[in-house]
Amino acid sequence: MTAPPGSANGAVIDVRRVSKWFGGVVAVNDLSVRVDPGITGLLGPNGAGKTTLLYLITGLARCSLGTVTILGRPVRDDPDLYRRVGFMPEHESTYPFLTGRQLVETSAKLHGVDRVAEAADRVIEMVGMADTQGRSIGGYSRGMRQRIRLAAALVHDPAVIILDEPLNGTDPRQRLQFQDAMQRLAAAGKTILISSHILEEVETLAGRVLLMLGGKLAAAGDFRAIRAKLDERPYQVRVTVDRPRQMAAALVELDAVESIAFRADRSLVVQSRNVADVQTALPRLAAERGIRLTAVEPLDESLESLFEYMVRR
Amino acid sequence: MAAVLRLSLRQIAGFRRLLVVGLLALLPIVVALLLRDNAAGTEDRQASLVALIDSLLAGAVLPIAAMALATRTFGNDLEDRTLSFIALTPIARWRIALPKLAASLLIAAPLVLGSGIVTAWIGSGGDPRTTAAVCAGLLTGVAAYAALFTWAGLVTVRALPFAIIYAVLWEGVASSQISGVRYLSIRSYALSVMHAADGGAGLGGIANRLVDLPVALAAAGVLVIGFLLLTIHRLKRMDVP
Repeated sequence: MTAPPGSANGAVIDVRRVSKWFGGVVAVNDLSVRVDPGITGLLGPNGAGKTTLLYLITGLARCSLGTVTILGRPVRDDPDLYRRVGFMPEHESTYPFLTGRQLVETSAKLHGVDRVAEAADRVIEMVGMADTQGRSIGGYSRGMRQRIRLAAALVHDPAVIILDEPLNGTDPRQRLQFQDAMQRLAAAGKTILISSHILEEVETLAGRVLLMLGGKLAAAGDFRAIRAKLDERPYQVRVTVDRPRQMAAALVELDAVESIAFRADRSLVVQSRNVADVQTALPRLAAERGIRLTAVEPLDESLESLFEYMVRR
Repeated sequence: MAAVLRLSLRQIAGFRRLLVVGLLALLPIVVALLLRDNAAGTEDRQASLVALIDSLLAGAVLPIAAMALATRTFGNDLEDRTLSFIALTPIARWRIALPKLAASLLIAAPLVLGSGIVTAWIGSGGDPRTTAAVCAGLLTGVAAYAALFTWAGLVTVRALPFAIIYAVLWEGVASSQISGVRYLSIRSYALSVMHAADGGAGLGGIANRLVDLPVALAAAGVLVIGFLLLTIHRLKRMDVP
């Protein structure tokens, strides 16, 4: 079931100079990407434009400028293309009056699947919902809703799979199950695009990533190379103690510490490229010097700060 | 189309909504019973029936029931963000719009027609022709309103306020004050079909609101087809939330 790349440049998904604005707000700004078979991660902080881009790619939203093709076909005004595309939106809305199985079977019927029951069995088993498929979706947990929606998006065996924050609400066991399923689909030749705002989610799945920030493509390419760049950046930690000057004197002796700043609220901001070493040393230094340590707070662990750092470079 | 129809029927057939519309549909029947007991004679009964059909059935129950149900056919999808579930399928947009309209008709028509049939039967003293005429007129009206409000439900999430303003100001105030408005009034089309089907016998008192039968039927048909096409066009052009 390998999807034959279809656009002129051979990409399965081909986004060319796409912009999308809502009134005066630019959500996606002159963005070009291509997605090939395998798993591609779409990373970015909340508000980066990931969901808008996925809506443009799937044809749910119209581009203000630019073009999007999947398998060489424009995505708008071509409903037949959805036989080969499966999309799971981020929002968890679905029909609460249906059972899980009814949702999957309805999706299969709407996609013109021939053997509805067989196809539903296959994907329900794949997402681990066989035991709970007969229950009403209204009574499902968040993770169960995510999994049954994933089954509904995959029931027609699409060549192109687009998933927006698919791991929201899932527990670690379900994440492993999901990763396993995606890797099997990728090995079967599917083109999979998965968005997430959590770096670690994508790290285990995608070999290639697209990084978005502020509606633009900040970086694209091999995940490890991008991650290495991210690891070069210094982290900041706020340390609150009763005697900041004594703690600063102790910290400055650590190799891991690059700089220390005093703040008006008697806390310290410590900058380091090895924040783990700093956090390990802090309680020891405080105990040795009789300093009362009241708080240690990472200031910039958010993906947004990492992306901002990448973009500044 | 059957899958979209089944989903749509279950979406709009909420218990509370059906209860409210059902109670509204009972209102003309209750009033007809009261009027029957108090009518002094045949002329008095006919005048009461005309007032009841014109003001309460065609003027209130018909548009309110249609708007309460038809605006929800797409309104629920937009509010719940479930439209993408249907939009991301390889089915032509007309095969989404048509079952949505059919769903609103299948639920609104039995309620409105049931109310009209019982009301007309009681009000006319069991005259089958008048009863059939009221049924035909309401069927015309509910089809046109359903098409209009199904489209409105897709165009705006505030379809219900729009529909109420339309029904009160246009169909209620403007159509009774400005004679030319009857040519652009679904209520007038419904009353015209009733009047023509009845042969003017029991429903003669609504003549001031009427248009010719061919005009009423053609206009209602144009409305149904026109708003169905607008709904299909909107589905093709819109950004799905």
